[in-house]
Amino acid sequence: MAATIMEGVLHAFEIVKEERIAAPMEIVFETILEQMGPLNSTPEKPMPMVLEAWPGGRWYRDLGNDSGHFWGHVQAIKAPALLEISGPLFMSDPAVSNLQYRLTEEDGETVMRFRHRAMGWVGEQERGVDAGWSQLIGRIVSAVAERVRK
Amino acid sequence: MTRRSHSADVFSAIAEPRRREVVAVLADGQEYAVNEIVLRMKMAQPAVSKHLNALRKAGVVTVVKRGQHRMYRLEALALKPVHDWVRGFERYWTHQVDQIKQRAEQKALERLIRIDKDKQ
Repeated sequence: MAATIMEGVLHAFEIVKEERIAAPMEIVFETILEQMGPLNSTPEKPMPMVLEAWPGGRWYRDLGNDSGHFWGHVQAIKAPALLEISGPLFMSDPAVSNLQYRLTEEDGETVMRFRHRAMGWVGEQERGVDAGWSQLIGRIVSAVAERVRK
Repeated sequence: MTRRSHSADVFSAIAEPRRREVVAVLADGQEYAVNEIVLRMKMAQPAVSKHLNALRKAGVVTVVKRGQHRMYRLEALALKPVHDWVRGFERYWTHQVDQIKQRAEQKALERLIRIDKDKQ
């Protein structure tokens, strides 16, 4: 048996999004539950999930015949202001995430604040993700390409 | 049992928001002297130097001496682990948030139309 002690491999990130929505909080909250549940999708295809909307409820993909993929548990829920989930999400790594949707009403609109914080050990090769991330990285990649051309 | 060490932790190095600003200044791929970065960031020179040093230790920037100046340049490859990890999630959540906004606004509109019809 071989064992390796890994040092300094814990990584962390935070994704924050804020959106003003022209709809009452109740409707936005109901929509979040639908969107995280049966209407969940990726940019490419529908990917229905089960979201048990109560404390400790599971958030998972039900693939039938006792197959599936567990993404997280409802850590806190307070309709129509808060949905908080913690769990591994779709990372097949020793990593954990905390997601929060917080809603407030401002000037007759709903402000939805979304936060995803993750930490863990994520290998550097496993992730076959395929699209642009942020302006910053986009600029870096272009700058590097430009430098290569020179 | 073997012991593997990762001395250059890119994630920790760019966890500090001002360091990400330094990265943004260097993102055009050009070399910059410390005083040029200080001017662009409107930040005290010792603080900029401290951030540059942390980024250099993580391999995010490299430094070369040109005459009187120490020139800093971004090493984009060092940012790849961060890029790879985050972009899958970023893309998924952007889609999700867009869908929530679109559907909630549509529902609110439909509800208003229904209330209007009921009044008539």
